[in-house]
Amino acid sequence: MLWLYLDFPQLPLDHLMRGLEAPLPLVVVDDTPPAVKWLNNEAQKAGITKGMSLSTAYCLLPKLSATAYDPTQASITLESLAALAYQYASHITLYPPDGLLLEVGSMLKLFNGLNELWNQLYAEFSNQGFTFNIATATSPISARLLSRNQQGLCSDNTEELGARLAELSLLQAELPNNAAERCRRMGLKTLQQLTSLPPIELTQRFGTELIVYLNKLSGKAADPQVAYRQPNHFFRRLDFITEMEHINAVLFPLQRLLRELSDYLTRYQLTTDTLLITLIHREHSSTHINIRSAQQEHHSEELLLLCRLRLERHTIPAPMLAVTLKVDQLAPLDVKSDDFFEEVRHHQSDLRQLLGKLHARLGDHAITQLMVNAEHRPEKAHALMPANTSPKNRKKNTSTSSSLPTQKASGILIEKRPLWLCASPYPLDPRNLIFLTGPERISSGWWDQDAIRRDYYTIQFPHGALGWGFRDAKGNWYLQGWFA
Amino acid sequence: MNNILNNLIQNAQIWQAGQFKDRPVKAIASGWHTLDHFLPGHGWPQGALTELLCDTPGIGELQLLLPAMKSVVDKGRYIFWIDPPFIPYAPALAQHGIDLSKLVIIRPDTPQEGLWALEQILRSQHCGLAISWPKKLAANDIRRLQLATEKTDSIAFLFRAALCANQHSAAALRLKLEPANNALGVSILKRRGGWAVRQQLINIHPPCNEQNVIAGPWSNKV
Repeated sequence: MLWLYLDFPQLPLDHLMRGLEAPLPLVVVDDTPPAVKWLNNEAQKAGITKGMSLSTAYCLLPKLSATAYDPTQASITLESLAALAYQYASHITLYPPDGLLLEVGSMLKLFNGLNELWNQLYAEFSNQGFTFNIATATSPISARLLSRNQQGLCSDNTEELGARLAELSLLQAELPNNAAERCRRMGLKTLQQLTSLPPIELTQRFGTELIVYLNKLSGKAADPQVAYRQPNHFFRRLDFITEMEHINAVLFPLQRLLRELSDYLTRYQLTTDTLLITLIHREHSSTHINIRSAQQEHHSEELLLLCRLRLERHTIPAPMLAVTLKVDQLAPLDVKSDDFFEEVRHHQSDLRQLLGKLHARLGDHAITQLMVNAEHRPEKAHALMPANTSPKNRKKNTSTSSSLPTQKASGILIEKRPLWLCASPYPLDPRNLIFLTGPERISSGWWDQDAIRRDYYTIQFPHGALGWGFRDAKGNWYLQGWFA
Repeated sequence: MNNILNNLIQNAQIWQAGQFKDRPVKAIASGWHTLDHFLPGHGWPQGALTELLCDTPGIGELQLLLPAMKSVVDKGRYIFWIDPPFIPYAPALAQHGIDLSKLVIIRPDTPQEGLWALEQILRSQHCGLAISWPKKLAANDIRRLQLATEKTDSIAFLFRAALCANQHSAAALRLKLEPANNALGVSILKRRGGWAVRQQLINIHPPCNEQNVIAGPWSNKV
């Protein structure tokens, strides 16, 4: 088996840097009192060093941005990296807080050799803006040690790798039970010196734990690894270094998240029509923005356009600290090959894109379609339903319209109906009106709360307009529609 | 002097009546022979804005558009209604043979959003017909909409108040709708390649006589 370990020495820092448009001095601090744990080049230029206390760092550079280390965030980032690595290896193990172990031996044939796999991995993670060290080895622990000590080698040659490993000092070897210190006192410095000692002696002196560790290191003992399993939703979070006050400032970091989403969707042949964007504020409950598209999307440009339209009309209640993107409604990509009728299909997708845009900007409530109900009461004979072009609804939709002739036959729609219906009946003065047709008595709904008893007439107004009005049981006149 | 004239023509600031007679205008028959006779291209122009100036509802303003709506829907294209003043009544539309699944009603929260939606719809290849009742409309908005429409072959109707008749508008066709003698009076205020046409009567409502009305108990009160 061949193992590949990816070590991300400054994962929390890289995560923050990804949200930046232009580099600015940045440190990540940990411990109490806060001390600099990670720092970027800009901060280093100002003379800040690792381990420096935060107050000293501020003295050196007052405009420094400092963020506290957040272990939960680090584990989310690590998982997102695992998802990224998933396209290169099927067996992935998380080594929190900053490492990934990939079993690559079984992938060599697919990638046509280790070199190609190595290069692709290298390009992938460099593009994502992470600093990392790669190493391959024949056992998980040795891969980890080589990678963490930047002794990585793109090779599957056991001897070559063994030589590299032997050169590691015992302090670098992460021996259990503080064995490194005890070895140092015994005058042992490198791993080679330790492994050349007889195992029985070593067991007597250091206990079984060290010998098990050394056996795992050399591959003599089994070292089972727990495989990482991909969650069935997409979740990413980006933290801002400075608080963002304007909604437009979110678009840049969002673009990166959407590109990741797009890659994710493409990789798994999925699409989605719902995005949940959460804006996290310092002293305000988070804002949730649900973005729906009429069409299943997986291109980041389309998604960004939708987000932009939706966010543009959104006012944020407080400055933002972070943005998260969650997608849990994933659908398999409907792959269609081009054919003679491609143009027709293009039209269809064009309409869905249009509706998607309208939905995003105007909101779901603004877009409706008409429906006919088999009802005698004029208010209930029609219905407005939210427009949705998904095939399921469309089918339902057509069935309502195709059922119309039967309704006609059953006699519900014999009388002429007006094209305009007033939202609510409007009181009418029956004097000076000419009654053209009628009455049509509609007495219905005695079984529910909205019983009506009305005589409907076509009414001509003095200025020539034709209306549809009725007289109710009390003798009051109302206008309910226009023969427009 | 000649230069100035040439410039004007090249900038498309003015149109020449003679040019438009030669150029075929894409149009969908309005279904009313009286009207088709006067309209350039013998129908509602496609890829152009049509303004309908109308103050009172119920004079047949929608029935005027029904034949065009039907032919658009029958071709499988969509009709968008943007901010209609009343509810388009589904049973009536169905009675006129219009496939309801091809109608989309848009109710924007603000007039700006309505204009934005209309522009997006007009730019889309898929829209067959758009009817809009804009609340606020500046001259450059109309120009923008007209340009958006020109790229496609959809028909766009803008319903506006009769008051706007005196205002300048970039719309290709402007009609004024008024009730007249139990019919719909249509006067063409502006058309491409022709002069304005005075009121034409279109018999929208089928004739009905008052004998149809059965006198109820209320008749003595009226």
